[in-house]
Parts: sequence; structure tokens; C-alpha cells
Amino acid sequence: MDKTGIYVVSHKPLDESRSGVDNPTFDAIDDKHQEVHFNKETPHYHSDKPYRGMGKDELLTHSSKGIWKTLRYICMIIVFLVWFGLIITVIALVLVYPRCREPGQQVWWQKKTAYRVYVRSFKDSGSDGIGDLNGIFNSLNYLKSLGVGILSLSPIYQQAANKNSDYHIINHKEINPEYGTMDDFKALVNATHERGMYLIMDFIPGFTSIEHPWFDASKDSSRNNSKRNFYLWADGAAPGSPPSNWKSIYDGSAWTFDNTTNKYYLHQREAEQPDLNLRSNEVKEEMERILLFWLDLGVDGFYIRESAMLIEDYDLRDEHPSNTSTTTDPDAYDYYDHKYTYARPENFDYFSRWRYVLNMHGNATGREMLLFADVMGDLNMNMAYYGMNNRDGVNFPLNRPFQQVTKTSDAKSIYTLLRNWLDSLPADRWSNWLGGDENVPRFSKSRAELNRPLLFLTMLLPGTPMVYYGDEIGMVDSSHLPSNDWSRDQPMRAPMQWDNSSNAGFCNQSCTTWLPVNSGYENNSVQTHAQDGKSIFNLFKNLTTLREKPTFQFGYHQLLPQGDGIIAFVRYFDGKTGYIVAVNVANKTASYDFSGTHESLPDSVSVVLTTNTAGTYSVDDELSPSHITLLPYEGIVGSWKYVAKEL
Amino acid sequence: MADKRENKANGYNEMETTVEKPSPAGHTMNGSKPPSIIIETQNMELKKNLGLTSAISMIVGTIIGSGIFVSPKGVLESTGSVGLSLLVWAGSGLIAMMGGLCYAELGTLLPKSGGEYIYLKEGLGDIPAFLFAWTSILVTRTSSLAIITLTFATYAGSFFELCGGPQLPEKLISAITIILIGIVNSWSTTLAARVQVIFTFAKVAALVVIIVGGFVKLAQGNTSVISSGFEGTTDSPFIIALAFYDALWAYDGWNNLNSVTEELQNPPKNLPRANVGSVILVIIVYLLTNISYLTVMTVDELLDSPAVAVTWGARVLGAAKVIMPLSVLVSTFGGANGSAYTSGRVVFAAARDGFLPEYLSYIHVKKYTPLPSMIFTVFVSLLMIIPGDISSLIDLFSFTAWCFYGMTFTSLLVLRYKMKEAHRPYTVPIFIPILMVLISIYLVVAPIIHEPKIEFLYAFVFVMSGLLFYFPLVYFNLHFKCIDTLTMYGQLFLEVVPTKSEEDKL
Repeated sequence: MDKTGIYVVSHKPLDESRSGVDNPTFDAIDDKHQEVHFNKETPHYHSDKPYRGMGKDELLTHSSKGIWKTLRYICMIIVFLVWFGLIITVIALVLVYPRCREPGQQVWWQKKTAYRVYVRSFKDSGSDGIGDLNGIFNSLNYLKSLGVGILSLSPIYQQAANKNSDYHIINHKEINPEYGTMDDFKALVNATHERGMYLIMDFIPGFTSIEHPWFDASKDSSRNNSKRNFYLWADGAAPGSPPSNWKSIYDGSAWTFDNTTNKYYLHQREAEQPDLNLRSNEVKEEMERILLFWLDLGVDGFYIRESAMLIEDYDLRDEHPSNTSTTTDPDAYDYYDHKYTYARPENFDYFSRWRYVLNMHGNATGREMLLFADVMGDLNMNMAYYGMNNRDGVNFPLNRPFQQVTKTSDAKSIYTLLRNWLDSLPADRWSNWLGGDENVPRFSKSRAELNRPLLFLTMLLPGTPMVYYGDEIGMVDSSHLPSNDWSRDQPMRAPMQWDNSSNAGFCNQSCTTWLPVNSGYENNSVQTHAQDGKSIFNLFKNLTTLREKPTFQFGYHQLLPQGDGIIAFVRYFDGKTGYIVAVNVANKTASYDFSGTHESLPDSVSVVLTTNTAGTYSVDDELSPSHITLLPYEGIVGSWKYVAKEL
Repeated sequence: MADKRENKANGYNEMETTVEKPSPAGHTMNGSKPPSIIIETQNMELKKNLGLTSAISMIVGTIIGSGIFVSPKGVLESTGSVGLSLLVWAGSGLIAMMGGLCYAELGTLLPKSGGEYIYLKEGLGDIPAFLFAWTSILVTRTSSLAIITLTFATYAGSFFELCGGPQLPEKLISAITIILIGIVNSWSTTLAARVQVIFTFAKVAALVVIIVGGFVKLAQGNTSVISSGFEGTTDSPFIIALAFYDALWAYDGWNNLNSVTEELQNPPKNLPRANVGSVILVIIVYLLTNISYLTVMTVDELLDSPAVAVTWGARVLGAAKVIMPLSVLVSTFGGANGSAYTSGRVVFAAARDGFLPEYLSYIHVKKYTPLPSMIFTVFVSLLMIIPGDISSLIDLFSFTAWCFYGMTFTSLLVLRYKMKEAHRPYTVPIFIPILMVLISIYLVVAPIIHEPKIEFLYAFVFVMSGLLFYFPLVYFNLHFKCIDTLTMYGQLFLEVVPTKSEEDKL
């Protein structure tokens, strides 16, 4: 090695621990030469060997040699090839990779939770002890914070005086003064919409109050009044005997003789609530005008009340005793099989007609309307409500499996109810799950411990849940005994329990509530529940939030095999988080192996929600679907991330 | 010298002969004088490619990452009210600006690339500086480059609607982006700086679209959310502090210009201007963008939206909504470029001081790009995208960032005594660094108290484990011959040569 070269080193300070010069190629250097060199300031010239830290010129003499140049080019080519290779791989992956299926387009009434308000009992803005529209107006922020999006109001039409019922309508286009004014109603509609919520009214087309001006005109003694046909009049089958053996639902004949016109009128309910004759074109038009009147005010849809009793047999044929009847009293409603008066196929024509009115109005105003109806009866009848003969019916009939659940119901019977409904549902139709309303005993009456499991099912099964006011705090039926079957003062209509002040915050302290406030409200109110993280109230809020998740909104569902008291189902969708919901509806600890019961179920799920009762699991636990063990009435929701298929 | 400067500004570097400074005390041999040697050093250095516009683009481009487009909601969620959230946005901007002023003093006092690394070294000594370089190079900067390219990939992937967002294509797109950015930055610093300017303009333009659209809606009377003011404001001072924490992360990157001081033209003038000007620009843009979002969306909708700008676009732009995800792409690409540009410089600066293999400080002989350090950064970033989820890694090390910021502000105070006489082209009022030290301490301690996690300890242990390398390799300077040989071959292969910093030359 030539040792006369100049030493070119980096700027880095020399370091004695290394060899004298910061240059590896000079390891064997002789000290003398080095010394000499260091003491001489010499202009540089090129070393003929590369070394560490060499400068520009030295580097260029060596690096431009063939091998380094070639190596560099090869590496550059490799880098570019790898880069292009990656791009091509990505393009290929993108082309072959499966796309998610499109979720169906959903409308607001499929996305939101409905909340049924019994107006008279919800909140009194004044001091008359009667709930009113302004009370609801003042509670809208509360409802919004609950996570509900659809308010369904009990009837608020103007009523005949002193009738103790919501069904004595004397004017379909006015508000019952007990509940407020038309201005109050308009303000309520606007405030509801401002919060992104929707308002549904009851629509009662089957009958009116006997004091309705139509009835007065109809029973005009001249019998020539243009409104004569608004109601159903018939001659007795024989003198002193009604036209048919039809019974009122409150027992006794459905026909009442009217002295002014010497004819019978039909009333399937009380004698003071005569049935309208919906076969009359004038009545049909009146009904459509009523719908349009409220639609113009901004109402978002209607709940058709008593929808199975719109039309009766044209020939007024007698009904036959029912095979399944438990009564032997021929005057009792239940004695008969109501094939001529209940759920006649003609009814469906009216649903389609009203649906059409709503659709037309919706098209004109760019809105989507909701129409639903109540019906009792078998599944086929329920399913027919969705549409008959290629004509759309209502958006959904109210679905009441949980109203058939009693304390002795086992998992199997509940499972069967759910399974039958889901299996019968026509393609592209939407379910409803009714939590409660003002006509059935509250969940809590005899099976309070089922509140939470059934709330899980109501909120998380595919369909629109409809809950009843007070369900969010597990309110119980009143111990107050109703005056009679058709009076307003039914046990499930006790005033809402807002806080622990007197009257439960329903109205101010000096007022007398129209129904007594439930005893024990001090420990069972919105106020007390809100402070308790484990309360059903907070569970309710968590459920409405969970229900907003895409998978619960539009995901597929599959009931898992029912085993050992556990009802479970999965909700899943392409590309979205999947969920398993499992509730124990029995009064014993239950355990089941759900592994392999559905293709979407992974080996491990993470708990996102529990009933917050005594239980095996808490939120964020990881659990395996192969060992799900639930204490009595415990429920859980487990989730898993959608795992994309990696190619 | 004046001539030389001019030449450098033209991108041409003279060869020159300089006398190397003697090595610092403590490293001399057995008490005797170090050999007085004359060493010829070719004055290779990074070129001064950054004017004021590029400098501001560099800062704005890295501060505005994807956050403002994707999830400007942490602040709103914590504060609870529109009014307070806007105040917090402005207040955090103010803090970032004060930080920028401190860095302006440091950057002009010590005009070397490498940012905090340099200041910690001068102010607090080698160990903090080494630990900073160690953490920053191995984890923080590379993982942030990785995560921002992954965000880029997620949005690129969203155009193809692959079911469930499979990881593989996203990771490949992320790798493609990192390599592309590596190539651009290795090819030419001018090109990289231009890319930065163009992409910053594009992302600011996208935000201007959002702002203008929002104000049109505002003029149409959509003021219900904005006028809610301080309704719902949280009354917990602790929660407000957390909101500041969130907002400050959105301003992170205000310190980036200091990493590349050597490439800045006329640092005494441009560094303070760029540091302050860009933060003011960002404050204005952030505030107006938030107002625009809240004009079109309610508070709840904003909190619910997975990608706020995209939701905004769908509301306001109709058919043109596709420009919003495109803007996120542009923004993240620009952010990744800025991140790579500056993180390459930290590697470079630390290697130049012997804290990393010296080879990493070499620059390309013709292109003047820090090729080895860029390759190193790209390589580590590529490794970072392989594991499943690196966002947890980011969370883990986020608290160390304010730890090092705080130490840097302390360095400023220390240097006021240590280098009392030194020429300071810019001097920051003393109360600002003192305040910043206090804020930093708070920001390090607050999350640990709020949510003590064992992971913080892991992160701390990792940072400290740097000492295992520091003592043998830097302090005792163990030397392996094979490294030299490798360095030589590496030089020949990549055509890179050692460089000199401005300070050495002066």
C-alpha cells in the first residue's frame, strides 16, 4: 500500500481510542511516516484505494468503476421493480377482492326507536293533574337523551265531555282541550322535528262518539240526511231482536235500537261509540281529509287503532260459537268465532288506500311516512297486514310476542314465538317488536325480572322497537282498580315517575293527579335511576345507542338454537362489527355451547353490554361462545370485529 | 465567505480545505495534546432549498395531517360546548406558537439540522440527546410516518370498497407510498420540498373549500349550533386539560422546521417568521374549519361521524363530494412527505455526532440528499407497517414527546447561562420558555394520573434501554473495524460522502 497519500478524514474529531487516523486502511501505518505527514501541510491528491469517510473526488474515482455502477443500477432496477410489483399486486387484489353486499336503503322509521306516550299520564305542564302536549314539549330533551326517535301519541282528538275514554271523538280536526291547543300541537311537532325526531298520531277510523255531529246528522229522523250512510243502520231481524247475533267486545249485543229512526245501529265497542260505515264513499273521503289535515301539520305517520274492526260482513250474517271458547255465556264476546266482524279481508283495502294517501303526500313533500296498525290473531293475519294482492298494506302490524310471555313461559315457548314471526315475515318487510302500550299490563306486573332480558330482545332483534313510557324505569302497574273495562283509568296508565318530589314530578306539588301516583315512586323515578349506573334506565340508554350501530340497523340476523333456557341470536353484516345477543329467560343458571351454530361466530367475543344484573360477565370480558354461562335473567351482547378475508 | 454563501444558495458547493477543530476535552489521549493535524474536508453539505414559502409549507403541511379531516372531535367531546371547544383550539394554537418562538431562538442560536437533538445536546448533555435520538429515530418518527401512510392507504382503499377493509391491500398501498416518498426524498431535496409546497397548497385549498362552504351555509342562516355558544360546557378543569391535550396533538409538527435548519435560507430571519406564521395560519384554518363543520352538522352528528370531512362533503357538495376523500389523500401524502423529509434529518444529525453509525450522516455526492438516513427511515417505517396495529404504539409513546419538548425548553433556559455571550439573532421573552416548561410537565403528568397504565412504564423502559447502547458505543466509543469496511463499501455503493455542518465551518 502506498503510504504517501493524503489522509482525508471526516470532520469528526479524532479519537485516541481508535488508531491514530480515522482511516481503516492505514492500520499498519508506521508512526514516523504518519508524524511527518501530520506536520506537513500538503495539498491533497488522490489515494488509489477507497477508504472509510473518503471525500467526493476519491469516491467518484472508485464508485464510477464498472462493478459499483452495475451494482447500483441493478439495485435501482430492483427497487423500481419491487415498487411496480407492489402496485400491480394491489391492483390485482383490488380487482379480485369481493365487495361487501350493499345494505338495503333504510328509512327513518326503521332506524329509530319508537316511544309510546300515553299523553294523559306523561307530564302535566300545568296543575290540573292531567298530562298534556306542553308536558311532552318540555320533556323532548329527555326523550332525545333516552335515544328514542319516534313519538307515538295516544289519541288527542277532541272528546265528548265526561266520557272517561279516549275514543269519544267528536271532532277529528281539533285537539282535546284537556291536552292543549292546536298551537301547542304545532309547537310540539316543530320541536320534535328540530331534534331529528318524528311524531306519530293515532288514527281511529272505525267509529266515533255518539255525540259526533256526523251521528247527530245520521240519525236525523227524516232518514234522508246526506250523512245517513255514515253509520251502519239496520232493521231488526225480527221485532225486538237485533239484526244479527254480533256482540260488542264488552259483551252484550253490538246493536242498539235508535228510537228516532226505528233502526239499530252497530257498535262493536260501547253503545256510545257507533261504528262508521267505511263502505260509504263520503266516509272514505272524510277519513282521507282527516289524514291530510294532520299530514299538512307535519305529522309523520299514523297508528291505525282497532284496525281489525273496520268492516263487517255485508250480509250481517250471524256468527257461530267458537270451538275454543272458554265461556258458555252466549252473550259474551268470546263465545263466538268472529269471522264476520274481525279482520275481514276488506280491511286490507283500506290500509292500502291510506298508505297511498301517505305516499302521495310524502312524494309531494319529499318525506317518508309511517303507517302501522294493531291486530290480534294468527300469524297469517298479521302477515297479511304487510300487503295483499300486490298492494302494500301498513309498514308493519304491531308485533306482540312479549305480551304473551308470562312468568311461567320457558325459553322454548319464547323462542318459538320469535322463530315463528321471523320465519313468516315476507321478504323485504320490516318487523316491529312491541315492548308495551296502554292496553296491556306492563312487563313488570308479574315478571319484573324479565324486564331486562325482554328489553334486550325488543331492542336488538331486527325491527323497530316500540316501548311504552315508564318502561325505561321499569314502572309497574297501578294498584288502582279501573272503573270498568273501557274507562281510561287502567292500571298501566299511572302517572310517569319523574323524580322523588310529591306527585313524582308529574305535575306541581299542589295538584291532584288524575290517577294516583304509584306508591314507592320515591325510589323508582327517572331521577333515582339516572344516578344508578346499573339501573334499567341506563341499560335502556345503552340499548338505544347500541341499536344505532350499522349491524343492528340493517344487519342480517339468525336465531341460534335454543338451549338450556338461553335465547340467543347473531346480528352480522359484511364489513361491520358482528354481535351475539344471549339472554337467560329462566330462573336458573343456564349454560350452552354456541360454537359452530353460525358461520359468523368467532372463537372469542368481547362483551359490550350486559343486563347489569347479577351475572357471570361484565363489559370488556372476552368470552368463548362455546361456554356461555348466564345466571338467571342475565343477558349479554358480545361483539367481534369483521375479519376481512385475506387472500 | 460571502461568495461561498452565494454559491451555496445556487446549489453549488465549493471544495475547500479546513482545519478540523480539536476534539473536545475528555476524549483526548492520556492528557497529552491531540495530534495537530490538518485534515482536508470536502465541504459537502445539505443544500439550502427551503425559502420562506417552502418552510411554511413544511410546517403547515406536517401539522395539518389527517386529523382535521377525519376526527376533530376529541376537543368538542371533552369540552361539551361549541364555544369552549373553539377557545381550546385557539389556546392550543397559542401554546404551539409559544413553542415555535422558543424553537426559533434555539434554531437561530444553534443553526444545525436535527431539532431537539441538537438543543438537548448543547443544553443538557449527551445522554438526553442520545435518548431523544434513539426514541425518535426508532419509534416516534418512523411510526408516525407509518401511521400516516396507513391512513392514506385506508382512504385510497375506500374508493374500491373492499369488504371489511382487508389489511393486506392497505399495507401494500402504505408500503408503496413509503417507498415512493423515499425515492422522491432520495432523488432531490428540491423535488421533495416542491412536493411539500404543492401538497400543502392542495390541502389548504380543500380546507378553504370547507370554510367557504360553511360560511355560505352560515350566511343562509344555519346558525343554530354555532349560536349555542357555551351551552353544555363542562365544569371540570381536568377534562378541559384533556381537551387541550387533544388539541395540541392536532398542532403537533410546529417544531418540524427546526429539524432542517441547515437547509433553510437565512435562518435568523426565516425561522422565527416561519414558526410563528405557519402556526397562525393553522390556528385560523382550524377555527374556521370547525365553525364550518358545526354550521352544517349538529354536535352529535359531528361526534358520530367516522370521517367528518366526508360527511360534510356529502351534505354540502352533493355530487362533488368525492373531492373530500381525495383531499384526505392529498393531505396525508403531504404529511407523510414532510414527516419523512424531517425525520431523515434527525437520523442524519445524530449520526454526524457519532450517536448512530456515521454512515447514516453521509449525503449523496451529486444529489446532496441524505440517502443512507432516508433508506434507514424508510426501512424502519416499512417494518412498522407489518404488525397488526401500530396506533397503540403511537399512544404509548405520545407522552414521551412532551417529555422531550419540556427538556428542550429547559435547554433553552440552560443555554441562556451556558452560552451567555453567544450571538442570538432572535431572543424570546424569558417567561415563554418558563411557561412552556410548566405546560410540558403538566402534559406529561396529566395523562399518567388520569389513566395510569403499565404501558407508560414499558415506554419509559424502552427509552432508558437506549443507555445500553449509549455507554458502550458512544461514551466508551467501542469501535469495530468491520463497520469501517462496511461504511466504505456503503459509500461506494450509494456514492455518499461525509458532510459538514454550518457550525463547524464558521
